[in-house]
Amino acid sequence: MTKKEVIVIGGGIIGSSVAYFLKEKGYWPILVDKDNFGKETSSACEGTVIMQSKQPGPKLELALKSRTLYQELSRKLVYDIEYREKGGLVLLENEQQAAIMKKTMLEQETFGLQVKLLTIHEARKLEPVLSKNLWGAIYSDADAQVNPIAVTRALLQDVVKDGGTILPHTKVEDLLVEQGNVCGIKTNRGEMRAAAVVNAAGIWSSSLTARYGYEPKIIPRRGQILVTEAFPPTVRHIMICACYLAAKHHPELLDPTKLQHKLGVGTVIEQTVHGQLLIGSTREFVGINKETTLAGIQEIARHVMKLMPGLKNINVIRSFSGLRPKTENGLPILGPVKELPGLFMATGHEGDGIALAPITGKILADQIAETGILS
Amino acid sequence: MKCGLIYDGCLSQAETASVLPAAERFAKGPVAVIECIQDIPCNPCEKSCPHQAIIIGDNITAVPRLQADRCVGCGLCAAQCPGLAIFIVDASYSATEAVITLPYEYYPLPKEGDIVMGVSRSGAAVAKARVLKVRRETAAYGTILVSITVPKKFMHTIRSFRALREADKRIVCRCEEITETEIRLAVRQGANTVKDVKLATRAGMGACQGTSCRREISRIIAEETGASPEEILPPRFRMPVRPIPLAQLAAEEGKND
Ligand SMILES: Cc1cc2nc3c(=O)[nH]c(=O)nc-3n(C[C@H](O)[C@H](O)[C@H](O)COP(=O)(O)OP(=O)(O)OC[C@H]3O[C@@H](n4cnc5c(N)ncnc54)[C@H](O)[C@@H]3O)c2cc1C
Repeated sequence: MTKKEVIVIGGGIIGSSVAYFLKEKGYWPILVDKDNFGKETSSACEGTVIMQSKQPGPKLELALKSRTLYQELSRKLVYDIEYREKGGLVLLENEQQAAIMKKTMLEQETFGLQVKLLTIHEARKLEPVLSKNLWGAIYSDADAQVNPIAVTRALLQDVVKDGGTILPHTKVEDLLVEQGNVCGIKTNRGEMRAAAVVNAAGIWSSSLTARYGYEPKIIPRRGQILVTEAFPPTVRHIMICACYLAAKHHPELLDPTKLQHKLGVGTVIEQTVHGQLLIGSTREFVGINKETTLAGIQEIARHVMKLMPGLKNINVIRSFSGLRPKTENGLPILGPVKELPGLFMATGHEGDGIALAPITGKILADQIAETGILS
Repeated sequence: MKCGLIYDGCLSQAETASVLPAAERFAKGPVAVIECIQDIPCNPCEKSCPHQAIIIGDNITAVPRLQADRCVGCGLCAAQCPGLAIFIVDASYSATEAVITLPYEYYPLPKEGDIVMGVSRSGAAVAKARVLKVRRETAAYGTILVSITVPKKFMHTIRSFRALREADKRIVCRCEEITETEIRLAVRQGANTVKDVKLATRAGMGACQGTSCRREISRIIAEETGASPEEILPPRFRMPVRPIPLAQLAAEEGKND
């Protein structure tokens, strides 16, 4: 019997991962993208695979599984995805933040995530660039980083090596629906049929299904990032500030009159394998707009200076921005669409798509296999 | 467009996929990759294998099957194959590099330690490789087997090599040390804007942010694709215009929205 073909729309990190795990399950994936692969959000972001930032619950559970898959992928894929388990620090500026985080820490431990509260003295031994004025930090050795551009390329290379098809510059204009079932896609290069279709079109996902009455809210949330010059390994951990987590999980704690909080600035910092720092980011609702703004990049710089004055002489060489696909409840949309049999969603990962890409691919491939679409 | 052995003389991706041993076997050490998919009457590989790892059977036109768990990657089959269709791939060589051992029938022979250009099945430059070993296989009429180390990500792509040329040595992006050949390869693989080339190679991601190389990259894309350089999409310009220390950016009087 010939293998069943499955079309995946969107070659960002999510679509690439879905195609990879479909291939591993014995399907022939056909991955299409309107442009070249990986040019949208999946290359306009950081590469942190942080466990500590995930709300204890389904997100953290998914993230922990995804991390295990990253360990396997970095062994298996011949392309170096620059996966490094550096450990991470959540930076606490004051006692109030510490109090909130202590509660989260207890919950995290029930999910098997080991975390440790450090005084600022202890934290500065790990990261001398930190300010003495901070209150402390929470350490976890489970936090890691990866190069998202490399992950996308590595997954695609492996899909192609095993006979899958990837079609750049193939824009999906509509779904092919017959008797209520999705059986393929209509593109600028013609129609294609398959046993199932996966929608991984990032912030554009719901525009493809809207005319069929299925339109989950996916809102672009802009994040601006600074890139610095490369220098020898200095920032040894992935670091995030507790106010980033507050912005994510406890928006009620933020002061909306402060510019920092208006722009949603929370620091996330990593030093890449190539030596550059990536310092993020803002969290703004400005539609499909990938500009960077002076106010945005200055606010990021101001906040990082407050946390890490030791980096003051490092040069910023560029800024960029990406659009996170945000859903209403903050959880990704994964799985079959009741209204449209044959269609599966893999989208809406907001600020966690890199960390959650492997588990997303695995879940989708398992779900497609379970519905009886046999390979 | 059709591709594959009978159309263009090179195995297609799907054909290659059909002959590759499993990823787990690659991880264990050197193994033969038998890129032979045509029903031709030929069996020296089966006869040459001291471990009975290659099976053709009584029907001499059958394609060889590798029993990967028996193969030790000795290379005798590669030296014997008259079609030069067998390669030994060692993915366990190091964390970042693999070793490819291949039959080589040109003079002058390379010397151990030489840096050469690894090429694909169709002869396209892929990445630099280093000659690890040159051996004359006396058990197979003196066939020369050359072992080269290649970046692991290209271990299923590189299948031969050639001497370095000017373009292989010419650095276009000085910050990230990306050569003209690497940029041409990316363009041939579909990158047709300066941003595509940047994502594929890192050219333009370094300290100068493409100030010194983006024109040259546009020119190369234009040359490869037949477009005029003005048609090639320029990269996006982003703040800051010049490198600026973090502290200064933070202190600068700016807009507040
Ligand atoms: C500033 C910033 C920092 C971030 N940092 C992190 C981090 O540290 N860790 C983390 O886990 N996550 C992070 N993220 C989130 C992460 O980047 C995203 O969740 C993830 O990249 C989303 O991937 P995707 O494949 O769904 O979307 P995309 O990468 O946008 O891919 C969607 C693809 O679909 C294609 N497409 C769209 N419409 C069509 C169509 N009609 N036909 C064909 N193709 C189509 C597009 O061209 C695109 O390539 C960050 C995001 C931002 C913005």
